[in-house]
Amino acid sequence: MSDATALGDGPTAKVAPSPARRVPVGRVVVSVVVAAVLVALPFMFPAFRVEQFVGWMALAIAACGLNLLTGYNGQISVGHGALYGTGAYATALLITDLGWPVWPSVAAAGVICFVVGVAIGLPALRIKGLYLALVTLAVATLFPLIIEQFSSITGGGSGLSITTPQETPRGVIERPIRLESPGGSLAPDQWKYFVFLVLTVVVFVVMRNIVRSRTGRSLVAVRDNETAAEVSGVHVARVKILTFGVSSAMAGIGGAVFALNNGRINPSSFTIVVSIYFLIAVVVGGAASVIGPAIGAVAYGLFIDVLSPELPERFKPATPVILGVLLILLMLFAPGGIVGMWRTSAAKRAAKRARAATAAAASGDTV
Amino acid sequence: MAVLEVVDVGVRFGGVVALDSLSFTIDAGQICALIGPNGAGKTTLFNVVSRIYEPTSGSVRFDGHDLLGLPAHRIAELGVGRTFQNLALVPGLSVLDNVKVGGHARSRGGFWAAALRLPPMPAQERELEARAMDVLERLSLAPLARRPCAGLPYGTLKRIEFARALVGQPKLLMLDEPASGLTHGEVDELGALIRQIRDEFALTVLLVEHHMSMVMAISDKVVVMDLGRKIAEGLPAQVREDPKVIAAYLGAPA
Repeated sequence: MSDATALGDGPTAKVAPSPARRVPVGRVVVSVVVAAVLVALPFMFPAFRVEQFVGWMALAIAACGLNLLTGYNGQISVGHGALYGTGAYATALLITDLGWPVWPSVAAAGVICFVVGVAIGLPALRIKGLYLALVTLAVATLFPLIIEQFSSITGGGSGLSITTPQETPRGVIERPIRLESPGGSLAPDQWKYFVFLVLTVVVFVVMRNIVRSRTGRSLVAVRDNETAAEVSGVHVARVKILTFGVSSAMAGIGGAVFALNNGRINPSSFTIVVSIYFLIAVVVGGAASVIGPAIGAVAYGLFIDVLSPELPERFKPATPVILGVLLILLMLFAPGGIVGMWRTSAAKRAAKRARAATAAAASGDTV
Repeated sequence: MAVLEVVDVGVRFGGVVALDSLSFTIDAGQICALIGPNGAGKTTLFNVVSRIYEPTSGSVRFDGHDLLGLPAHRIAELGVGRTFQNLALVPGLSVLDNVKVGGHARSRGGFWAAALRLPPMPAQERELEARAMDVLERLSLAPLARRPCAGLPYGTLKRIEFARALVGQPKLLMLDEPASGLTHGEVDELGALIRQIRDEFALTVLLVEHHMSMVMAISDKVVVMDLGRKIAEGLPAQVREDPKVIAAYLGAPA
């Protein structure tokens, strides 16, 4: 019985053929073009630009985590900047002070942020909506203060350099960390770009797998109707807490990428404003769509790193105002973000085709 | 053999007595209708069995389990499925995904398994999808499978809830006013469908319904409630003649 369905060679008699089974030509073309552009980018731009791209990846990963929590599970967090910071500091301290290799440190940053996220998420069992946002806001506000308080470990306000011991002719000395390609065939910025691009893709694939699973459905069910979720057997409290944890782990990995990209971190990089950037990336790209936060992160990056430096000198201080106005306009005309805009227009095209088809059929009848 | 035993269940909301030591049992394979005027406590009883309301007294046993000792999310895996009078669907999910949510208690795997698509997961998902499509087919909902739930007509949404409950492979199916919002013809069809599904899936059905023709046609047993109390119980024909039932529905003769 289950063999018949497990074979997967075409729809079984009971399963209606779904549109998703057709080969989506447009989708394949878009994927190939995007992949080609992503590979070509580091060879087309100077090193400082490529490092900015890596910064966008860090933002995309963290926003992806926030999207899981806010977009899919309906829990608002304005505190993900603190988790981003926790991930960044965890990575930096593990590498510099404990001498851990890079990748175990990034993984550990994820695990640490998972635990911290679960702890921050505990109040979410009792409170929701704006009240939860306020609790997370407090976390975001406190984070830089805590870092400055424990300056003996964290370096306080002046920050922390990520260093590793390196052999030199004058003996072993601590040097700023550099991610070098094995054969030295790529420039450090290009190597960094590809390494973190792979990590980013992995995070988004994981996100897609979660969203399309039993777990993903239970997240949305808890968001939209807790009673419906509960009578279907979803442990609502457990789902909420674990989502907070997983979302925080992603934010922490984003922070690790940020730290490794910059090589130096300080508390001013993790203020409340960073939490707002994540929300912006999620909302601009499109909440509750897997790829939305990545698109939002790129859009935000383009505005901050590419567009705003080109502004005439007298408009530069107004950058946040311009960003604000653009956001208000976007929310007015496309509340679903960029992905939402695309979906709406796709639905309209489909409806138009359907109308045209029925009109053609009707005129065919009368003739 | 009794599948569901409701014994002396009382529910109070502040000073309001919603259920007043209600007792009845349903035998395996029966279709039992719970009827009574609005405010009789029918939906309250559903919510007690689903563990949404905490009763102030009494006990509820299902299939040998003491339901009141379990949290709400454990009830589905014992084999209790239900629909809601005022609908409890997930507007953000497609019709198919809504129905798949009903299979939650019959599947396994958390974040890790989902994130890495560990071996049992894809096969389990395919199996669940086949089962969900099968149920949608039976309820004539298959063409809507990929549509979002939002915006569909009320009667359709009721059927989607019905499908969701069935995918959970329940032993006891509780339907809260499944015929509301349907035309007369559709009500007859639904009655036939409930009987057919009861036979095929070997279900026990507890039904709250105001369409008396349907209740009388398909029920094996009728429990009549008024103001939180049971006022009559028996075969449809017996209950219909009961003076207390007539009084509750039409008012006592002057």
